Amino acid sequence: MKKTFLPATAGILLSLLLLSAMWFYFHESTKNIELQDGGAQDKYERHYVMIGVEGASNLWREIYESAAVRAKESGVYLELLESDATMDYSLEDFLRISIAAQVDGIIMQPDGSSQVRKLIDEAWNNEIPVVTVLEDDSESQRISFVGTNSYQMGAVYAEEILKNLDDGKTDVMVLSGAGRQDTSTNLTLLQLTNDVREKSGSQKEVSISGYRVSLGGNFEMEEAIRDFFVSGDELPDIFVCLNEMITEAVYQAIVDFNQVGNVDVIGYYQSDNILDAIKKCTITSTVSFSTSEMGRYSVDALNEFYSLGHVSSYFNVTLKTIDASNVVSAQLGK
Amino acid sequence: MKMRKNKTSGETSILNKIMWLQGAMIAFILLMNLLIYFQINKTVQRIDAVFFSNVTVNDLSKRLEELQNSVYEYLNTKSSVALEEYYRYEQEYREQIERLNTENTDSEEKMLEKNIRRMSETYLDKANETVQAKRGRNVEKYRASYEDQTQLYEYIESYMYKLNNLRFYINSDNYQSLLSSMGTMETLSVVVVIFVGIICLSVSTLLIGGMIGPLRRLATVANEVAQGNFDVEFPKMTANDEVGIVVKTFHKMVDSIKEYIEKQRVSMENEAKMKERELSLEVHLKEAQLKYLQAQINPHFLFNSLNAGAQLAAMEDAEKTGIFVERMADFFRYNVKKMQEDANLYEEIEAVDNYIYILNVRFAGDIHYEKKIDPQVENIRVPSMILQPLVENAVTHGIRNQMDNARITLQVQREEGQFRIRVKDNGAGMTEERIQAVLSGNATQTQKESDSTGIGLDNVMNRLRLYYNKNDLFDIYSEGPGKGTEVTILLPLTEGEANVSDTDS
Repeated sequence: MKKTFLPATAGILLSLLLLSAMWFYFHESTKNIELQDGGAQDKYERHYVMIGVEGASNLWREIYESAAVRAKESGVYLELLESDATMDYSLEDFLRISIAAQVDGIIMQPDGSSQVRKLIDEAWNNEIPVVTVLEDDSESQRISFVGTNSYQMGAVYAEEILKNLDDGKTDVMVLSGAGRQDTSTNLTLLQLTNDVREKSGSQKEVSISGYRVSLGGNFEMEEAIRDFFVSGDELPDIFVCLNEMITEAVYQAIVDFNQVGNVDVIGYYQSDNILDAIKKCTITSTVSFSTSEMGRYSVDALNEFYSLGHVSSYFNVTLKTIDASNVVSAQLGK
Repeated sequence: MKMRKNKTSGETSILNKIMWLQGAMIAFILLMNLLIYFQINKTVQRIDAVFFSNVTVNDLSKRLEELQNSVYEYLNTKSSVALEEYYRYEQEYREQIERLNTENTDSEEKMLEKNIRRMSETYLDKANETVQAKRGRNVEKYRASYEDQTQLYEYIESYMYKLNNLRFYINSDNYQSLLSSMGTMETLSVVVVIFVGIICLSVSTLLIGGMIGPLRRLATVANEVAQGNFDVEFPKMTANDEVGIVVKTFHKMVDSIKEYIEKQRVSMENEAKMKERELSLEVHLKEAQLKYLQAQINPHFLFNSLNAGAQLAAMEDAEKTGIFVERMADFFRYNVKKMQEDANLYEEIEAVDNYIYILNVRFAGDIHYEKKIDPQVENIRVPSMILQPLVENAVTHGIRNQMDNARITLQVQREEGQFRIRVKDNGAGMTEERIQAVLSGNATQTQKESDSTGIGLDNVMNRLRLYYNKNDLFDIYSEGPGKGTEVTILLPLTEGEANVSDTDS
């Protein structure tokens, strides 16, 4: 009996082991599925939204990423609202949604329209503080603005233009987004023009013209820029781009139409494409700023408002220029 | 014994063992199936649950639509039915959104829920505002309010759509994981079933082998026993099952047989010994009888007396009587002296001569005695007292009743390596049956032993056979009753005797 007892017990134990191994394996493999349903997640004290701007996704995504890190550190959930395949809404719509959703703070870039201003005021009336980023609407009831100084930006652009002036007449074309009825672009343009005129001296003739490119969702901007190259009109000597997307479009057109070296481009912001182009000397230089600083400041402004009840109405983000001399360190810095 | 029997059949019988084994196997497989079934059921329930969240959002969306429609209808008709519906749907919708998340968490899904809930609350306020304005007939206000409400409705709808999409996306992932888990479990189940099957089979083979093994060994042992080898080694049995009992019983049976055979052997040996003893007893009895007979006469006294008789006869000049008495003395002396030892052939012949003389004195010289003797008989050693009994037999059975013409012939003739001795009478003769009876030793003695010298034909035959270690040394011939009888004996010569005799001749 003993002789048979041992293998029988061993057999039963082995089978039980197999069964429990199977049970365990199956349990483990299906455990994760429950977690996705809504297991333990980090809880946050407040809920801010950042309204993305159509046509500047890279820039906004970088600002959002740094802001989200800052938000998480300070116990805030930061939601990025932007149009996607399921929701195609305007800035106004997103503002209305944020107000209806009773969020704790809004970070956005106003377009200067009165409708947006009204909605900022409405948010404020609903006890939702609004922080404007990149561009300001000083007439609205936003609590703070995080961005660059328009005068300063004009001066920096002017400096870059002056570096690239020809001996004779130089045509400068300033391209800005047409969707923006804000004053800061105008201020920048004004400062730029004044500075160039002042500093170029009497020997050099500079003609500066401005062009507003539509930034709507129908690819108009890209077509408009290509028109410059296709129409056969003489191209300007220097393109000054006050928008990231415009900069990339101009760069692509220059390459496509074989105008590398014929036209100087002074860009805006430092996307990977733009830095690459500077390295290849297709884009002369670019005026940029720290997106992470911008993201951090925007969350800080709202946090400060909640903790102190008031906040400084302006957070200045420093400007920098990137050209062939410092493009490598800029790339590394990224 | 009874208790043990019960115990055996109750606890450890093969039937019980097999039933236990089968029971355990069935229970185990049942347990395994239950576990697998339980897991599958759980998984299916989960798959149901996975898509339940989508169903919830759809319900919510439907209720919102009904609510929106009821407000629109009320604005259109201002009917109390629409108003009632509005309140009902509003209540229901409020209850439904209560279940949505309100906390700020990492989960996009939860945050969508939160946004939907908050927007829905705003929407409900706005809807209430619209309805109140309509009731208060504030046309401008309710139009504006309805417009806002509709916009909110669209936002919420699109958020629900987004939430539904997101959930569907997550659920599809979950569904895929569950499906693959199911697939894995299917494979695992098959593997486990196969493994458990193999294990069960091995265990049953082992167990049943353990039960049957002793039977096989028992068969081998039984074979050996059948071939006569009782000293076999029996399989050791510890189990108390039927096989164990059979093996033990067989063991006992073989032991019993061994014991019985031993007993038989001993009893047969005893019997043989007893027979031997009986025989020796008989021999001793005969010897004793002989000794007794011998002891009846003091031979020296007899011989001295006979000598005295002879001398007396000589003094009285009775010569014939003297010779008679002397020859009688010689005859008895020879008889007594040679009883236990060999004799020379001529001594034997002398004894016959003396005997015939004595008889002739008794029966008044009626017996014609004739002898033809080979001269080379002097040194031939023969068993003593073999001739006289033949002659005595011829006298007693042959010629006693016709003494007037009785004739006895003694012929001793040397042949190649042997002597042929014939004793022939012309007396009563013998039938063939009688001859065969005498030769086979079955003939009954009709005469009293006291009337003879005490030695019969069968005694002579036996002694010849024993002495020469040969059969066929004795023969009787008769042509029939009344035609006389001839008894022949053959005396083989020993090697020395033959050589001596040959050189002599």
